[in-house]
Amino acid sequence: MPPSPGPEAGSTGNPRRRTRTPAIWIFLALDCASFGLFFQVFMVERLDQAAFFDASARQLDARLGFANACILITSSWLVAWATRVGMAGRVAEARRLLWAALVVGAFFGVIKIWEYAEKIGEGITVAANDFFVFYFALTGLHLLHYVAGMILLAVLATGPARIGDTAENLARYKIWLTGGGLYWHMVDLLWIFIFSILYLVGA
Amino acid sequence: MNPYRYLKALAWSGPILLVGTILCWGVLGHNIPPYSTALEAEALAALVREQALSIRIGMVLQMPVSVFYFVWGVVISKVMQTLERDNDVLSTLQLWGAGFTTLVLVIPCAAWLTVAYRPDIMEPRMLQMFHDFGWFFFDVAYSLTTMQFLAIGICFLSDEREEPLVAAWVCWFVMFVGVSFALLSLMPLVYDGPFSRAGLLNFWVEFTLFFLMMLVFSIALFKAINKLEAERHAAQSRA
Repeated sequence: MPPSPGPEAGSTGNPRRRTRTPAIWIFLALDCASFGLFFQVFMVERLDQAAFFDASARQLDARLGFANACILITSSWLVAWATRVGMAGRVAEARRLLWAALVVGAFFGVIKIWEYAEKIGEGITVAANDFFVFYFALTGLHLLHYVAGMILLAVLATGPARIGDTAENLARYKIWLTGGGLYWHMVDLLWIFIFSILYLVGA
Repeated sequence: MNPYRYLKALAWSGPILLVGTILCWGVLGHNIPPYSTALEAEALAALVREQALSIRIGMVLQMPVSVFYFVWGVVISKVMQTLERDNDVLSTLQLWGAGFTTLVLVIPCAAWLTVAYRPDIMEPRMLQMFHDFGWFFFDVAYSLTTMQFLAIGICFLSDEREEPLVAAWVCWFVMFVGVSFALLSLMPLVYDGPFSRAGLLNFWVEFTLFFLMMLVFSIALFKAINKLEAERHAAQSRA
């Protein structure tokens, strides 16, 4: 294995680097742009068969979509609160709030799985029609983001026990907390768009 | 001792693969854009018969070109190893991901070569089956490449230099491209529209992202090797 870089180049815990804006913004921007493209493609496809898409949208239960929007907004609010207290150095309190966000967020997954089971039970699958291709694609992709977000929140809520031991560890935790919080807000925001265009438009 | 000998020369395998794949697999192989999934077996067979020679040449050339992906993966692993502290799990995952992705770039070519070898006497449904097999292997085995891209992103993000070997935005972009492949899972479930293998999202967007990632990361890899060599020279001068 080649030797590690010298201390001047690869010095760990560089304070200047730690204070930069989290680069996760790049990922979030690309992700939002991708979903933006999916939404546009959905709307273009919808133009060709508006009545058919409207009839299909009426087969969705908007109350479940709304309940999930409320769940994610509440969970997101708890994460924002956790980020605020975490940035103030109150890590234990931040972790308790993250646990609360996780518990609230878990209901989203339960409702989503129940909704999928209900649809499949009615014989509505991804192969049903063009609308449901988009329904399963958009909500499925969002569900993957949700699962990744829940894992991220769980890691932040449990995390290494010795965060507060050094200023370097605390600074690192704050970066992850900010990044994780931003990601969770994106999951919330994307659901609001998905709920609007799938459940509400034409329903 | 020079731990970076050959790395820069071998790093050219990335751009060679990129250009070679577009020409051999894409242009000669008639895969940019691919034949529509909505085509009937007879219509597909007629197109393949018409373009058989070009497809054969494209696939025969693509097979050796694909191996450059593995060479590129080895170079990436060597650069990743300079950052790994406790173990080499990320560079190993990356290397295996690159190796398996190389197979994904080779084996479907054999299927498409089979299709173009005797299209005049091949039963159209059989031809369609081999053609579909090639595409399913090519597209739906994306998780091998996703694993590779995530390992790259996570490893280079752990670099704590003030100016890291690979910029953080490149790492996040690479990981984003890897994750975006998840959309390809929908490909076998539809026959037309944006999620089909010739559709807007699952072909034009996904393949543009993959080729763009190859280009962006190739440049980043050259810069990383230059930086490592500069650090080595600086260390030698001090000693």
